[in-house]
Amino acid sequence: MDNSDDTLKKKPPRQYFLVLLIGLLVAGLLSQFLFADWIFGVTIALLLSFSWGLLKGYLVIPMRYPDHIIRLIMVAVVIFIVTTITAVLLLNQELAAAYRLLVATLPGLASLFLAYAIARAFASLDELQRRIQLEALAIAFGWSIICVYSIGIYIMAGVEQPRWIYLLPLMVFGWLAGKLWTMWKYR
Amino acid sequence: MKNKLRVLRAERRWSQAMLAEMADVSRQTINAIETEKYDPSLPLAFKLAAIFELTIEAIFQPEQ
Repeated sequence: MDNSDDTLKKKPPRQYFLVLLIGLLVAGLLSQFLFADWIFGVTIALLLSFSWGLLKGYLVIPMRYPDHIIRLIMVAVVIFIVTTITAVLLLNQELAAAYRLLVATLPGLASLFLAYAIARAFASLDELQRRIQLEALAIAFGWSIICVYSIGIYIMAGVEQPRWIYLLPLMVFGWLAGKLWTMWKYR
Repeated sequence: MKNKLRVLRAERRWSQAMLAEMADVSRQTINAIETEKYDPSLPLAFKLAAIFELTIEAIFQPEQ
């Protein structure tokens, strides 16, 4: 009996991981130098590397997204990255208060577009994959609440308050871990 | 719920990917149904029954 899936799998070469590692290092160091925040550069490096891997066929999304949805997400990611970098660079300049607010609004609008693209992607999935995503998001939500709650208690215990931006990778980690676990459950 | 999807598919020499394509779902979904980790919705059960030209009861049976 044939259980094979023809769409799988072009394995990423070792160079891909090497380039990814070097890219992460460079992006982290650069953003630490430019914005005093390594996490920003690492996130962008990951997004770019992920997109490149998808385009080259090294990475295969087990989910079944139509091509036009993948293109929509990529466009949304690029717009998000460009507006965020532009906003950060501009906000480091001398600008009038009104312009500063306008510039600060741009990444928010771009992230709305990204959220729309992700919602379209989820809507294009089949019933099992939608369930997997839903369960993964529920796990990520619970994980985030546990993290915020625990951090609050640790702060009361005298631990220094971490920057709020670190909540984002924690949430993404919760979603990825939840998705892997749910996919394993329905394997 | 028990099902005969794997047997029926094997009789027709279809791969999971082929059946997934016909049912317009992912191979992962076909695999999860075959391994009885996931019970399909009624519309998907009807679609699978139509593909195999059988009734739903001929493919899916409740657990005893």
